Amino acid sequence: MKGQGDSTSSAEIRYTASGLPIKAVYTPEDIKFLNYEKDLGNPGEYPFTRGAYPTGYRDFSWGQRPVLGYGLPEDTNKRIKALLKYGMASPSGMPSYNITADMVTGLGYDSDDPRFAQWVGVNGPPTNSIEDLEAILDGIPLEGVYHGILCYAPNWRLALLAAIADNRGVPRSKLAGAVLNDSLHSFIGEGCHVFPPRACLRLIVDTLRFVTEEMPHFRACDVQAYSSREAGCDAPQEVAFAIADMIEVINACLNIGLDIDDLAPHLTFFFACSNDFFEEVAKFRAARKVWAQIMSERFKAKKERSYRMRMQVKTSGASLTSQYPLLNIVRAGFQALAAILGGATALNITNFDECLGAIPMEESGRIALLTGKVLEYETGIKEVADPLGGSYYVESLTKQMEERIWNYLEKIDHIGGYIAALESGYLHREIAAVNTKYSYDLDTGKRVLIGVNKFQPEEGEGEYRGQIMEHDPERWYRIMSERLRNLRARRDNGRVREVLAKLKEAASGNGYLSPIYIEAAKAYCTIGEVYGVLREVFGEDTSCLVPLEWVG
Amino acid sequence: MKTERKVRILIAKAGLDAHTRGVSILIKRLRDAGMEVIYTGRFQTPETIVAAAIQEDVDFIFLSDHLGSHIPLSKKILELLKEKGAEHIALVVGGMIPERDIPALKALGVRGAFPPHTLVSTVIDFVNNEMASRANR
Repeated sequence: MKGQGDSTSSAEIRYTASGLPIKAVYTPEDIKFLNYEKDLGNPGEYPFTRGAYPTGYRDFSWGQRPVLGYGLPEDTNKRIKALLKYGMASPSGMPSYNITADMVTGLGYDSDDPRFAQWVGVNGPPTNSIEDLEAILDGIPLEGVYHGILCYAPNWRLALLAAIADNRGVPRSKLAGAVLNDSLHSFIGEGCHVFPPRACLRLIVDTLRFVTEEMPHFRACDVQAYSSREAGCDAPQEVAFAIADMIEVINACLNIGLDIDDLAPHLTFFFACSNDFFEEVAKFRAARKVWAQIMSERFKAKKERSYRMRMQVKTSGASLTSQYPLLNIVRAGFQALAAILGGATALNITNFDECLGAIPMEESGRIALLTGKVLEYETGIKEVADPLGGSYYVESLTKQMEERIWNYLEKIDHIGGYIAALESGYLHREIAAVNTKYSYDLDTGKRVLIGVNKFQPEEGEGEYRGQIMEHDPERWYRIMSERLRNLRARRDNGRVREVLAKLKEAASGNGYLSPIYIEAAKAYCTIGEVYGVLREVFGEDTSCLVPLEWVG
Repeated sequence: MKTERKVRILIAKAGLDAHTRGVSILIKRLRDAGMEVIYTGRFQTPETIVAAAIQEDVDFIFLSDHLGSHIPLSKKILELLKEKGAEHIALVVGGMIPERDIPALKALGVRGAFPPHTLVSTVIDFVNNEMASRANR
């Protein structure tokens, strides 16, 4: 019919960033499938689609724990103290920090390793021995603080923290906080794994056993879906691959006799929040529902709290542009809003200058924290739980998202679980396909990033003119090397050799490693020495992260 | 008809930098554009990168870096290329390359330097232009 061409152009099916089909208008017809009890439930009730807690954010804030850290341990200490004044806190309101690691100690090398001098202190503080963590935490109490420590299996920095607590007479059981302990996701994310997948799994389980037995308030498996998303996953992949990873970890924990309900409080998810607003809202809602179902039906958890997915959300670093960098404050604000409307249990807003290849300034950390405070105190959005619940569009999108997640989970189960899917190249292939499409869509303008492929700045217009803070690895390497020399001269090296031999023996068999790490920490062993032993026993993962044949 | 030799590109990652999203996109896109791509994998050194570039007889080394080491790494790679008489291999860097560092990189002899969020089409155009100007030389 005449004229119909015009009306179909705006009524056509379009797609979200992850390719979910969407229409121009949604009506009651689109949510006819909904069974309130089964699909939604009240906030804080099974299946938790509408949020983890019955009163939304009235009783819990989303907290704010921006990741930070650079330079020498004392530089990071100063930054922690500066930002604590601006309300860095856990969702339960405890003062909190969340520190990164430099890649040198992150990958288990000592700061005085001349091969890696160039990267000492870059993007995170070096943490070789107990003395470095003591310097990072100087003046910060152990109790009453929520400790956020980025570390991968074998979680050396958790051992350092426990050792500091022992030395000060603070019971380990009083410490609260979180470590990532998720080297399995690193294979499709940021690439900070050292050991082959099966060895990573053993180390992860070892730490989970330790916290389950000794540190009830420590979360110790925070699946880094954030980093796989930033490495190219779309939204359903982000959730599905993270859940598949967690299923693998849980199975391994159950195999050594841990109880699912004891284990559950230690498990959390770390998601990204990217640009497609409603898709992200739907993602968080769908993720909670799928997880609740898995914990109740697959793992037969008995306690309701075990069904509740806790998710730390960080606004997307990959969405930040160096063109008009101040716009990143706006991007992060919208992403934070989507995370809150989706029911994130903890929020972490990016620094706008993270994309400038320098150390984020204290000021940008402050703006990130205060962005969260604007949302919390000025907008009124925390007064009502799940305000988008019941929306024809959001409920319909949540359902679609849920189906995609289940679809991936079934495929991964069919392949034989997360590690099998990893080793077969399935996960990398799926991510590469999405990644390539994204890059074509940016080229053709099908996807828009302001400043990148639309409204590009003229020469000299889009740059950041504010202050930046350059890294200084040469100096940091020199100072850290000096400190390590000093430490090795002072400590009882006989004791060091004894503990390392004990670690080697336990690792070569089926020994329980976490208590030995703590002994090693107290004996002033360094991260390079501890990892060195484990490298000898387990070997290293030598695959490159993106084998050519997986890219397609 | 004479068969034209395809452009050959070595994509390299050095040191402890683990960010591979850009690499994975480039491998696929450059191949789609008809180029031959070889990837070193992670944790390489300037020495292994230059050796691979010479052995694979490439036209370009694409160094991907996100840990702020692009300047020292470029310097070393260019020195080694010179030392080995392989200056015909052009060095291109991408990743977390701040705009403010581009003049310094160019001054060292880096042929192309691409900041975050460079469109891949821009990179492909760059390679094609470089090859065309080499053919005219």
